[in-house]
Amino acid sequence: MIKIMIVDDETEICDFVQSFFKERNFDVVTANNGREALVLAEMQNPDIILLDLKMPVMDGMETLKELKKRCYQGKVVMVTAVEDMGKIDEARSYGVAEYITKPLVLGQLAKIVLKLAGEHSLSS
Amino acid sequence: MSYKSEWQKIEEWMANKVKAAPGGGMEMSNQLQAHRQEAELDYQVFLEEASRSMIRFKKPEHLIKMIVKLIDEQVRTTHIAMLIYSEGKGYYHLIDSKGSEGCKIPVGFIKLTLNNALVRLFHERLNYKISDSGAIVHADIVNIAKKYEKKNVNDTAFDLLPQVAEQMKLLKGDVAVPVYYKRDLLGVFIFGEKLSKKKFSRQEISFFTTLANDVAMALSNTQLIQDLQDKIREVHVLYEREHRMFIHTAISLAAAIDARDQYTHGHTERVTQYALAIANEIEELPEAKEYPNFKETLHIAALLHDIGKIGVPDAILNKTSQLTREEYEKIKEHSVTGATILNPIRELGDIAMEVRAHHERYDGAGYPDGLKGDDIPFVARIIFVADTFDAITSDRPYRQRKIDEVAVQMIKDNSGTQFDSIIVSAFLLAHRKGRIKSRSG
Repeated sequence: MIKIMIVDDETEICDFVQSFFKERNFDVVTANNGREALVLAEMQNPDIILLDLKMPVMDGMETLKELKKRCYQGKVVMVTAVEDMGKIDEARSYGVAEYITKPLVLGQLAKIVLKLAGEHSLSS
Repeated sequence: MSYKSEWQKIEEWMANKVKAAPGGGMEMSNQLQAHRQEAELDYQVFLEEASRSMIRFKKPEHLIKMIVKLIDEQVRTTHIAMLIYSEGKGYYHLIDSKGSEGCKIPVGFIKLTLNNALVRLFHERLNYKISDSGAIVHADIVNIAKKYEKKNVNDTAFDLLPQVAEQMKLLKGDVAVPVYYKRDLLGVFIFGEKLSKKKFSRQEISFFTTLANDVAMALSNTQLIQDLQDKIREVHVLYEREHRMFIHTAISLAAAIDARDQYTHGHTERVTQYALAIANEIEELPEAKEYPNFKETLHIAALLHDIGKIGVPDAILNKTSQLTREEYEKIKEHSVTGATILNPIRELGDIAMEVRAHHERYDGAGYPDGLKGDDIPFVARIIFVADTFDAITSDRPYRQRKIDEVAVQMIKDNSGTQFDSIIVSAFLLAHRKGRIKSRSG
């Protein structure tokens, strides 16, 4: 089973996306900020991380830099608001696989994550 | 206000709608019938309550939140969501979502774009090809799509169905109900599974569509009212800006006139100030109410009352000895000249009339037209008193200024002859309150 980690400071979003991917047969873990995400990433080693850019404590970009430093092997999908589109290039330089802007189209979220999951199961 | 009557119209419309709530149509046993009537009654009560509440809301978002809450209380489902179209953004965004079991979709997290299969189905009214009510039920869609697959014909509505089913699954919707107003798809209601796991009855679905119609009506009305309020604010701001500019132009003109005459320096400013002080005491009089905008007319007329002095030669204006009869006649022309200057400006038509008459005496012995009593425009009568007070309390080339008390007494003495006695009373009141005071006091 593919393991996905959802990182978002909004609990409602975590809950919703969690149930969304559980229904699609994913193993789901959630984190409310970057620091939590780093700890969980080490412990649980998720295959895919859905990472919100704007968060308190440690934001998405910082988390991404840390993940790269720690040689995280999975795929990261960055979730941003439209006004933060400018940061996409920086995020890509830290190894982001895909990005999606909020408000998002659910079908697209499913498609992106399923595609990455497919790549993952092929490679492993 | 006209808003109120609009709301009343909606209220009546809603009330009629409630009276004509969805009826039966299927053969049923007596027991079922009784049960159904009971359920219907609940929905009727609900609709009545909803229509009453809808009227209270003037912001679309608040209205929708209220509706979602009411439905959630009435029809227990895993999840309810309402998306509405955002003109500026060009997509349907989630306004509210409620879910008992972790199904709540976070507000602002998702959107439906115009090419979304569900939106297209509703937008192109293809839903009516598969459902009389226009509401779409996930299980029905899946069944129809299966049957259609075998038939192998071309029809956009049926081609879309598998995608529509997919979209509803993504949104965890068992039922999707379009919200139309006239030709536009304003929004979409999504209902999740019933907590009882039972299928939605036809009754419930027809209740949803009735509600969606009401919502559309209320929504477009709140939208209309919001647009109207925005427009009014916009016009108001524009008006304020233009008005400010206009007043400043008038002040500059007045300053230009004053500057020519060393003795009357500051005269216009003082007359305007006195006239406004008098006006404050009598703005409730019927004469004042006859003006569409009394204070403003007075303000502008006072600023411009001596604009005609532009036509009086400097030699006369600044003469230090007594004026000859001819010179005095020349000065008297300034009220007519002023009106002639202002008359071509359509917005200043009424002001011109006031400027022309600001030397008319109440007893008819004034100039230029010898108007008498109430034939003299009201604002002109006020300016005349203010103008006279400033003339007496200011130095002139040929005489020294008098103290305020003397000027007040002179004005009082001429009440009913030179001046309108009501205006003199208002003048005295304002003076007593300390609002009319010359520089020397």
